[in-house]
Amino acid sequence: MSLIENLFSDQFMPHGYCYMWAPEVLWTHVLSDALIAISYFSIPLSLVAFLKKRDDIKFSNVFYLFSAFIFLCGVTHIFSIITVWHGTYGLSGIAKIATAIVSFFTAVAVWRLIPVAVAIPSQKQLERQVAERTRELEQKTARLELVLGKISPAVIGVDGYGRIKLVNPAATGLFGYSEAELIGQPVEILVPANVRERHPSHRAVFYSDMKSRPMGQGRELYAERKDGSHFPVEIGLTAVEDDPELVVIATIVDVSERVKVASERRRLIATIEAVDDGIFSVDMMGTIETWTPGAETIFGMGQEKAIGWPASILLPGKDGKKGGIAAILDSVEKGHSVRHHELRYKHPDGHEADISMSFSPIRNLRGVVTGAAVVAQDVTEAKQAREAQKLLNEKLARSNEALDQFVYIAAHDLKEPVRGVHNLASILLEDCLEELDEEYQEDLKTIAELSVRMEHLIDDLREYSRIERRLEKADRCTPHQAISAVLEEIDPFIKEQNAAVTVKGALPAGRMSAVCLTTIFRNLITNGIKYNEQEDKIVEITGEASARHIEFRVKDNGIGIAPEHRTKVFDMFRRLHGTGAYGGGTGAGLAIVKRVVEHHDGTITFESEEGKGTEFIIRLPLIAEEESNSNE
Amino acid sequence: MSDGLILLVEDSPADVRVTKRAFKKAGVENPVEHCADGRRAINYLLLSKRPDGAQRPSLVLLDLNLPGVDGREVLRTIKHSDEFRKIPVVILSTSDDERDVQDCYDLGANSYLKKPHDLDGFVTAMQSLSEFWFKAAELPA
Repeated sequence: MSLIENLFSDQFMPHGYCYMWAPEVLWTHVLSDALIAISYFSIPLSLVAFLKKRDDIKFSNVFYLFSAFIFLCGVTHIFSIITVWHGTYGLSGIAKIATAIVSFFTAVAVWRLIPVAVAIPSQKQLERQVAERTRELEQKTARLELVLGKISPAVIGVDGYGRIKLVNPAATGLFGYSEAELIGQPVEILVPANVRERHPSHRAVFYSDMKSRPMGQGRELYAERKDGSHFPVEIGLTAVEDDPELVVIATIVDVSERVKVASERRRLIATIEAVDDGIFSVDMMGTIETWTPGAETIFGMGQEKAIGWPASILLPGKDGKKGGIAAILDSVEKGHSVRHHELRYKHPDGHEADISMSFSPIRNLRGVVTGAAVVAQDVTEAKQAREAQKLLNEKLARSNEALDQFVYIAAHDLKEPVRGVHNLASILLEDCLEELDEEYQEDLKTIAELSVRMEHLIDDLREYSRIERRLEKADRCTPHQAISAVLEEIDPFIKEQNAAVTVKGALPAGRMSAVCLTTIFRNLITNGIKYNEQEDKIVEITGEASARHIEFRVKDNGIGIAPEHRTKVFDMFRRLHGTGAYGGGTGAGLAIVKRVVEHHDGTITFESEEGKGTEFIIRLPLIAEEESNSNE
Repeated sequence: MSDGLILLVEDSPADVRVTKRAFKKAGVENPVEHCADGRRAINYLLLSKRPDGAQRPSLVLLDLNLPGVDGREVLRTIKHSDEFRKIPVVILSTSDDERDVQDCYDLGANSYLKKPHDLDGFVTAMQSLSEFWFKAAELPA
């Protein structure tokens, strides 16, 4: 019998003989081996099933090896049962050899695995780690919620169906909804009604190309509050791709203030650009930074020739010298404005213009002067007009002076012969009156009277023409002193007319031109008495001073001024009554008073009622005194 | 000197007439010599230097505005001359301009009278004039 035949032969004595076929021994072995084999076959199966489920298990090869080893152990126990009745010890030995080999490799593998297995954390370690991780995660979540709650932009998270999944307090505050009202709602409730229908399609476009970006680039976006009001917003979209519950995070910023500022700014720019004046700005180095259309016109150069260039192209003048931009900026830097700096500017086309520029400091938020805003005006015509006006005024003043001088000299020359006529008539009246017929006597008297009248006219003419020059005299007195002097001077006249002149209350104490005051009071008091038919003629004088004016009122109970004469009373030689009536004045008094008052930039007006009296009101600016001071 | 000569320098015939008339009415009997302009007045004064010449005036009554050589020139000549500067010169002028008054006193005028408006005024003025110069005041020889 060959070796192979022996191995597969069952001619050996069955193992039952060893048990002497004693059923209790035999079945103890057979049943135990059967139970062991079944168990050994089931263990690899459960292991393999376990490995299939837990693909994260390390050393799975060792597990497979172990499964094979247990399985083969099971096979040797099956052979233990077979050999009870059949002597197939060869086959049983082969199974043992296979088991031995696999056992050996499994044992080697397990030995080699020990250090690696020791490194695997224990259950407690794992639990500790998990607790630690959980705490960290909770902290992170809390911090995230805190940040989300504190950050000012409104944050809204939306899922793949456009439903709101997350809002922060800024968002609820901004839109006026509570968190509960928003969560689960379509995001479209925050979109203004007029674009609400289109919004889902915009959303679809975003979902199809998930890239974080600002929303609605180039368009002005509006959002709608719970109360229906709209406000401009800027929205940033962030794609969150790996969370099916939260697809998009939108940050929403209310830009109402910015939009308002921007529109304010546009309005301001439009206004500035509409102004004819040239407006530009320079930095502290004197470099032109902005330039309006008005500036283009005034300086004859466009933005490209102005912006970025030094302002010295507009303000030639050496640095440090008055007129140069550097000197002006020195002043502006100290916070001062430079007003109406005039200069002659040569246009690029060659013609020259007078430009007036005003510089104001531009300050940054900290109040530091960073440049100057400049307003430029072409004042060529205004300046020419001003100069022409000045020349004209000077000419007029010279002409007036010459006229006054002429009148003064003419009056002087006229007076000599008139006085002669008067005097000779007087001599004739004295010496030859009896020798003449009555008719000629009257004629001679008339000649005398007319010559006297002529003299008075000439005197007043002279007075009128000379008044300006006399007013330049430095003599000054108080109103009270002036009135006293006048009353003393005309005392005989007052007594003769049975008149009373009273000063009521205190008069202003300031000193003024004596000529001015005496002229005013002499004429007004005299007129008040002269043009008066009352038994008791009364002239009352009052005066008061305000901060800028002195006002006098001279009131009489005389005949008054008829309404139709109101405009004429101040005319030279304008008499409202017959030549002989009311003392036969020349009609120059009020004209002279008016000229005196106007010389001092004052006004004279009157209130009058016929038959009751007249009140003249004279207002003189207080500056009159300072002027005469400076003339001294 | 109560009978001293008065030299009246006056270009206006009417004023000459009125002045003389006023002297008469005021009872002033001093002789009056009249010159109608400045040149004649100076001529008269120079003539008075001669022993056989005109009577030397005790008082000059001088109008300012004269044709040709005017009153100021006459005044300056008199007051610059050693011979005549002692003779009192009374200015009689229609002008009450302060500058005229100032100028005349600067040039040495002894007094300045504004011409009265009418005959009565002249009479009063001439009366006071003679009272003062020919009765009250002592005049140089």
